[in-house]
Amino acid sequence: MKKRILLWDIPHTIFVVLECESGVVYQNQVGGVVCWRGQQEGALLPFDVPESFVSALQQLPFPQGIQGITVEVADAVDALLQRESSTRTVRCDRARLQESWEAWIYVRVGTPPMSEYNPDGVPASLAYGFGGAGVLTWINSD
Amino acid sequence: MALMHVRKVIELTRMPHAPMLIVACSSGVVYRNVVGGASRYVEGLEGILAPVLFDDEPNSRIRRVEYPEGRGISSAQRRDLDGIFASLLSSQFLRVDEDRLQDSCEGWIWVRVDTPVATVRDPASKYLGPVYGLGPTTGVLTWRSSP
Repeated sequence: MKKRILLWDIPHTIFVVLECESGVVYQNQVGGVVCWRGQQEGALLPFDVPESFVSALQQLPFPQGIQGITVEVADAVDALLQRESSTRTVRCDRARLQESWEAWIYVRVGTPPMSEYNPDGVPASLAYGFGGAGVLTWINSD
Repeated sequence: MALMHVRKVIELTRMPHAPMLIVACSSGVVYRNVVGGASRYVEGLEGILAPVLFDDEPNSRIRRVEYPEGRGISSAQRRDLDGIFASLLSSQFLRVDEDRLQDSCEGWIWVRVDTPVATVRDPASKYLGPVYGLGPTTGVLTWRSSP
């Protein structure tokens, strides 16, 4: 059995679960009032964003009670991600909009290969060596 | 920080201000941070990153503990931190690792982590931490260090 981390009580910030074979599954309660169980094996990448960022995400018009987000919501999420320097390499995965939910959006993340990592320097990126697939998650609005 | 076998790295120097827990285990992912205040030690640990629910008040109490310059914390700081962990239901599964006081510093505190072996939540359990499936183990409580 894989280890499990519950993200139900996450602080008012956002995370990306970067997909990889880590042996740990991150789980969150998502989809608004549906409280669907989102789970993804990977590694957790936290972002320092203002609380207003999370509030803006929570106020987007996510479809209620059904899986999938609209192109308009994805555009709005991407616009928010572009606003913060730390999240500019994160984008909604347009091929996976129908698998996404409120508080659980499949994304693509720009992560350089490990060959570009300098442990003694100031890293240019927040993550190295991942394939680029992930899930953006935050505290559910239910 | 040895990186011989590391395949993936996540950088925590720009993490949110709330402390987070790195549980030590074989995951193929190293979480790296720069800690120790002005000493700016580069530390890394392979494992699993988990948010721990610290409200603003305990969060600032953890930061306000008077950490010595350089590496190593004392029994007094250990008692302060253990008191904060014990005061919250969400962090009662943590206590400072007495065997690693000298390896700890501001922003990088070695802890013992007592998590359920089961990978699902038992409604009858008093455990309210976020980590499941490891049993008793070790880890590091880390936060964004102030230079």
